[in-house]
Amino acid sequence: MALVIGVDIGNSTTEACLAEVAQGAVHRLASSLTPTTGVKGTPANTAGAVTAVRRALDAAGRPSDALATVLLNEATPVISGLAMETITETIITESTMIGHNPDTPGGEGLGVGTTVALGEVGDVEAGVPVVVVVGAGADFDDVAEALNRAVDRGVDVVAAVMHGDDAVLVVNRLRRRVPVVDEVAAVDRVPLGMLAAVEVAPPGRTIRTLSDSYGLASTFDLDAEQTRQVSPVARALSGNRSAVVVRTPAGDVTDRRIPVGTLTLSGSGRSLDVGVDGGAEAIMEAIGRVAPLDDVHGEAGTHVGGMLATVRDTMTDVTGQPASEIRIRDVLAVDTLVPAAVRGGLAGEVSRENAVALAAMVRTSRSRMQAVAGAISAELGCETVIGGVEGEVAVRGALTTPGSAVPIAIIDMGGGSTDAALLDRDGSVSAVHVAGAGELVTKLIDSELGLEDREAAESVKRHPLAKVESFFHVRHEDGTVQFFTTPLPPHVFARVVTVTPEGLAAVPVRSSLEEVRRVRREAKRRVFVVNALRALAQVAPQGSLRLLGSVVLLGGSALDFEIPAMVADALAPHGVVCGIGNVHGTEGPRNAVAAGLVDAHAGTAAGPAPERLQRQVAS
Amino acid sequence: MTSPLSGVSASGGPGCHGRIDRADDPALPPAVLVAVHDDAPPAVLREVCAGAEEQGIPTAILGSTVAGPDDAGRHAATESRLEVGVGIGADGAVVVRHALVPEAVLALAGGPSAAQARRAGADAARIVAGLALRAT
Repeated sequence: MALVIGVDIGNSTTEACLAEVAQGAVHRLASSLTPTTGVKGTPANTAGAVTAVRRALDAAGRPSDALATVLLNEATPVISGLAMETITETIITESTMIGHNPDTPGGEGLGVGTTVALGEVGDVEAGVPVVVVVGAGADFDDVAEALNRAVDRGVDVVAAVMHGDDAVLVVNRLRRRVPVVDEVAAVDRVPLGMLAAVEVAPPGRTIRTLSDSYGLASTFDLDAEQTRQVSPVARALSGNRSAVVVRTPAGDVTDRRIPVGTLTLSGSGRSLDVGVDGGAEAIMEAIGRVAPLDDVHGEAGTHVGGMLATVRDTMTDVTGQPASEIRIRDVLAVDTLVPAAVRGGLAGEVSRENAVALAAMVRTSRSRMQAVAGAISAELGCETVIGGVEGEVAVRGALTTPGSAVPIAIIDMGGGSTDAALLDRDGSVSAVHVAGAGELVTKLIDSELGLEDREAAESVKRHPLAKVESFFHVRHEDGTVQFFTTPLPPHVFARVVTVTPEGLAAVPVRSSLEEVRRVRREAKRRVFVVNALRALAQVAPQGSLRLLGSVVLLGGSALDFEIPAMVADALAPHGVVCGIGNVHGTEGPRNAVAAGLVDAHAGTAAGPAPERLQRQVAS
Repeated sequence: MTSPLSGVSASGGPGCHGRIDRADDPALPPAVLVAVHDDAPPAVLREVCAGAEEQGIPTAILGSTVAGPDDAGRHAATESRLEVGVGIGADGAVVVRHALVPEAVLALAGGPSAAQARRAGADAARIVAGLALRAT
């Protein structure tokens, strides 16, 4: 009887499985989980591996000197990098437009007149239609009084634009109600003496005139050519409840495409240049044309070039290989929309700009696991053996899931990369790593919701949402209502929250629950579903998913509350049985490699013995 | 009998039903009640009412029957048919309360700025409207 422990060093977690092995029989005692220290496959992993071993020993109540053998996986370093490039921007010139949505605009309707500062309104001649521009610090009573006086003199006050959050207060005090747009932060930059239109829609409606090209043409008496020029203004304003458009000689709103550099893809003996501003579809299509990818370079001096260089440099530091020998073996590009401040905007306007997110991955053949094994042996005073290659061992572990059978494919959904492996009837194993996994999902959620808070984005990714509807109840995203006997804190009142084991955490967004949910699910779909299909197609016989039979989901993301179902839904049309791994019927999707190492050592796994695992098609 | 709506207070503005004597008057539409100490700075009351008015929620002013702003707020919240009340103390301290919540939702120390008092009034209204609070 020997006490052995399998240790799986992954990108983000190190897992261990402790067992007693005697005459081919395996008696599992305990398993443990700890964050990986350093980049996978490097000597820095030793600390995490030793922690995992000690925890498993503690859990089983065994002294460390009882340990006979530590079994390590042959972990090759996989490093991934992420970059986000915004490829469009919206610019307002000459302060022609205010297109924000204040919470509480005042009055309703459309007013067209010449812009006049509040201080000058006393000098306006009677009968002239004016739009009054109110600067910072003005009191609502004084503003209303000045406007009422002007109207009494016969001035045609048709609308107002204000700095403060006072529109309703002012309109409530006017004898003649007009549309008022407030919370315009840079109101001092509104050009004076120009023709302007202010529109406020009734509650629950959106503006109709200023968001329509011919509405603008009628309002400002434009000819066909001028109407063509202002059509971007109309487009920019559609969906708003209130808006201001000022007619200036050269004012304009433009959508500009930002040049962000090119990717040079090489593979299949040729090389292709593709502009990142072409979007994800163009990039992925180009990658498909040069598949299998040999290497990727980014244009120097651009963000993409910088990101790829960083990935290469990190790998150089980790493995000691020169940068020139390091190849980027996979890239995943994802289209996304990012809220960005409009340049030239007067009220902090935000527009949703197109962006491309890129994940790149390098994998070397030069593992330094021997150094890790030596360090672990020295630390624990026992023998350390480097066992099978990850893909093979993971498949062995997955095969212990009740109900699984050969041929079997696995998808290991981790933090940095998504891995797939297939064990065929003839005992051959093929494996592939593709770029893009949990980290990219977090990044997409962070940027699409404009959170700029990685922790909050991580929480949105991991936990279901709810809306706090009163101090005593929340409505979960599936519609169920939960009551609380103690009042919920004011900082979550009426907010979209994530339901975490520690309690409710407010998501710092103005978006609705539905919008946050859509962003979360789309991010997961575009990374995990796309990658699962992409990776499986590379290992499937003749590239056909129909021939896969069954797919077992492994890794941390297989514990996610919705990713497994999304992947299973995507695979269902191909007639594939897909489910979450349950290693040895008890461990869930975790511990497949660690348990597989122990089984391989004992030679008792349900799968084929190691000598039958012949072929390793590495990515 | 005069309607409680007839005497619009000079300090309350058009969104305010003015000073009322009895909160349980059936003729009074639902409102956020503001219980004010007699010596409270008028500017604070004005901003609190303005904050609620900008959010489109009516207010009504209760002559304060108790001394501290917290007790005044509790009393106002209990009396309000919207279950939200604001207490304003002699020094201008502001407490926003919900009838069913034991702790104060929001509290400002004496001598708040106009913007703080406005935001407290707006938040009292936002509790009624079911909108996220601004001061938290």
